[in-house]
Amino acid sequence: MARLPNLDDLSLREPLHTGDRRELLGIGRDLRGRFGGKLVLRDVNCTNGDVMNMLLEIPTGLHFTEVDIHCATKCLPSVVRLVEACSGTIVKLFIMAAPYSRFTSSQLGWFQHQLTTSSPNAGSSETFEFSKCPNPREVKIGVTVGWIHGGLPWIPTALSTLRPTTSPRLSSLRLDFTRSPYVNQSVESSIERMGDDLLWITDEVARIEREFEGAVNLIVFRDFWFGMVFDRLNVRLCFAGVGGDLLVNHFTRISQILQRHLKRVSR
Amino acid sequence: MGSEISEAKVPTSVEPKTAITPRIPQDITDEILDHLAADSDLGSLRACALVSKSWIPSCQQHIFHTVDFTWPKNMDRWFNTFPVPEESPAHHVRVLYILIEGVSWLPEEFLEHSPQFTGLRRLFLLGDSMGFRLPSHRRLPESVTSLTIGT
Repeated sequence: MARLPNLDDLSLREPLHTGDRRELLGIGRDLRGRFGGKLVLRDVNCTNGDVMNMLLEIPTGLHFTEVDIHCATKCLPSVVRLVEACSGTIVKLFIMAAPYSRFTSSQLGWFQHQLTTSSPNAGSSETFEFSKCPNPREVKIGVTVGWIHGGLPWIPTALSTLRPTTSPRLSSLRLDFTRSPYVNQSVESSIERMGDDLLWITDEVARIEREFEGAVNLIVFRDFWFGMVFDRLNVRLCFAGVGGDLLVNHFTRISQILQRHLKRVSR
Repeated sequence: MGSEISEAKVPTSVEPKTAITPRIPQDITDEILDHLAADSDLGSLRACALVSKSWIPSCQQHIFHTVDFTWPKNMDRWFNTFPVPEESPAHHVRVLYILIEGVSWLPEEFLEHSPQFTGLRRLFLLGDSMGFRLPSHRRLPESVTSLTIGT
């Protein structure tokens, strides 16, 4: 049996999926290591069942301290299996789906999930059930507002699965709104386009705060060029060297939009 | 007896020279070389390697810390340059990138010589089109702590 007895970190990136998958499976048969470091799976197709089984069947078990996975939504069940096998591990999970926005959930004391959606058009019924994640501690959802086309119902749908019964250790919920530098689209128009979904998000955030009896730290973070932070809805503005009336007006409008929708949460 | 005393008092022409030859402690030399390495100043490190035999190991440790191979283009150059394993600086290599073009398996040339890389920590197997045949791992250096396969 082949061994790399000191191997801690394993990173599998594209284009593994374009090769002969039987060869890829050789990892499971031939690679033996300590696996006490970081696992990175960057090929959305290499997180299919075969690869997951390959990793799960490693006789010595998985002892990674951090797991960082990008995968297609269809792989979610097998990814969750891997996550469950790595309890106590920091897990960052990007789920590629639609539309173009980023969904990050972070689990754990030591558990972090990132879910990314990547198709630029239309809403998606794909979402993420936190009830299937082992005991999340921190949840972070990132939205690249420049890439939003249409609603984001999957975000509040995912939030609706955060319940005290299934996520008793949840201590932090964070929403990140960022803007893509590659898309020529105003931030405020993108946020406005979220429409009812943003309202739905605030409803779910309010429910979480209520059901968790205030034990969850709620943070809305809007970063990128403007460095504006909403911390528990108390807006702090940090210009971070960016000035000019145009930009000030720009993000003042954004803050108004967000505050208008998030105001209800603070009540 | 008297001649013995006079001989003792009169220093030879060689002894004083030997006594006052300045020597920089090795740890200070290493500290200086570490700074050059931190600045990625390979030119200076190569020059330093020519200063003294005692400087060679420390210089090589930095010069060969990270090595990029492109196979089949330039991997042969290494093994042609260092044909004798015992004289190869391979044991200094800590990070090794192998860019494999056009094929999906690890080159035999590397596998044959991989035991020389006794200090290797991070290994990158990067391809341009295909997956990899991984059973070859059985011949990879056991010192590897990090393995990356992909682009």
